[in-house]
Amino acid sequence: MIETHTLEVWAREAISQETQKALAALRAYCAKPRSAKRLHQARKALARLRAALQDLNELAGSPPAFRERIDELHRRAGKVRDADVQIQRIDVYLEDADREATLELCMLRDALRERRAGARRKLRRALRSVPEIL
Amino acid sequence: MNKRGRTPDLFAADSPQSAIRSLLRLRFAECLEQQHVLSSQDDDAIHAFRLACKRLRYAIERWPQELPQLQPAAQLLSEVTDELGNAHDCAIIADRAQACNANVVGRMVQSDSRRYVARAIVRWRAGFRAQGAFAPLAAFTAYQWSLNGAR
Repeated sequence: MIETHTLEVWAREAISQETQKALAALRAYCAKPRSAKRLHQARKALARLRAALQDLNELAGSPPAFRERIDELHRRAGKVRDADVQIQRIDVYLEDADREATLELCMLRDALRERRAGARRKLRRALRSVPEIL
Repeated sequence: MNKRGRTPDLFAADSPQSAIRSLLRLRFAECLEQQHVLSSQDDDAIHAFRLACKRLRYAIERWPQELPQLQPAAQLLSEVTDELGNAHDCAIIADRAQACNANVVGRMVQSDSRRYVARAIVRWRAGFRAQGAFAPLAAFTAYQWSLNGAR
């Protein structure tokens, strides 16, 4: 019984530490929402928190709604991050592309920019549901 | 293919140290179970393997004070997942290119994806050499293997 209690406290502490880091990273992102670097930091912090919840939540017993909210924020941030990375990669390809490839790459980049704008809007909406960040 | 990973049962642990050991054993098992997909052309399965590596890495990095001997394994996992992340980005761009008939880009990016996977395989295998980064992890999680001619 004592051991179970000790483990519960230990698991909660680990999750709490990751939660504080994720909140700090999200606050930094909200202060500069166009920053790809801050978004990346926020997404990484959310991924670590998500992993901690998956690993330790059986012991810690955080409410399912909390985990669902973290999952959603991570997914939304991921969509923006994926578009950021793919646009960067296309920009690198463009440096050495011939005419045909350039046309195709520009078309893909335009589509990705549009996708990223939509993903950013959805992320902003999801962030509004986390008052602790604001 | 399990992208989410299993939920560990840590109630049987009698201390945080033994809970960490059980957790890492499970996460390492998930990587070992899926490693064969690296030699496939299945982008989704390779991505699932990458996520398994990330779960293991995050678990190791969560307790740097308790697990200093395993941090090189986390570093190696980071290198593997970076390569596989690049491969995944290329695979997604290739899919998008194919969907809008951008065939020149599709071929170029698909070829890069394979190159990144090949580099990830080299990094992953390096961990299993004698004195490789996975040796302390195997010792900690009580896995054993013997490789003929391992150097």
